[in-house]
Amino acid sequence: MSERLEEIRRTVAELEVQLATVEGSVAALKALLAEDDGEGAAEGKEVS
Amino acid sequence: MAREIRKAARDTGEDVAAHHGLVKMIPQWERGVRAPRERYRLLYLKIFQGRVLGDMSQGMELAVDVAPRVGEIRARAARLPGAEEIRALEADALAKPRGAMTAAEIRALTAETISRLHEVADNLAKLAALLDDEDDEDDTTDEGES
Repeated sequence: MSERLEEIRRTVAELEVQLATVEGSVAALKALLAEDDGEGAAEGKEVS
Repeated sequence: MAREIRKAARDTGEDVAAHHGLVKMIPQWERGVRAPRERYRLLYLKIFQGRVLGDMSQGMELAVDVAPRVGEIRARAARLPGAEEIRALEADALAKPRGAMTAAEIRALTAETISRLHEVADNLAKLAALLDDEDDEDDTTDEGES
């Protein structure tokens, strides 16, 4: 059981790192879009 | 078992028979030919209690420490976008005027994210199998006891 418990712990730790990486990357992609929207909106205001 | 009895006896300062004596006596006790004296019964109890407590502490560790983390991981994984959705984000980001990142960087980030997403899926499947094995082991033990 202890070997399996160790394997579970290792997999859980790996998943926590992988999830943080994916969440960070998705947030970066979304931020890029939000940034573009923000710039577009700001530009729109200046024109009007 | 003889070695374990002698070790348990050493730990508690008990006098017990020599190894070869125990090797002769233990099969007789186990077959019910002779009854072990009280000090040997107590040493048996000590050995098996230690084993049971060891298993229990690992089971408790799994329940107390690992199980909440597994629940959190599954919840976080369920909130992640799928590969299609990430590709759509990439397409939107590429279609818009770029600020902080170049097109190549956006593509690289998307590829890396999808690759990591596959790793998450693989590890979730591995974890589910490991946890299923735990349940199967418990079921087997229950059946064995009944």
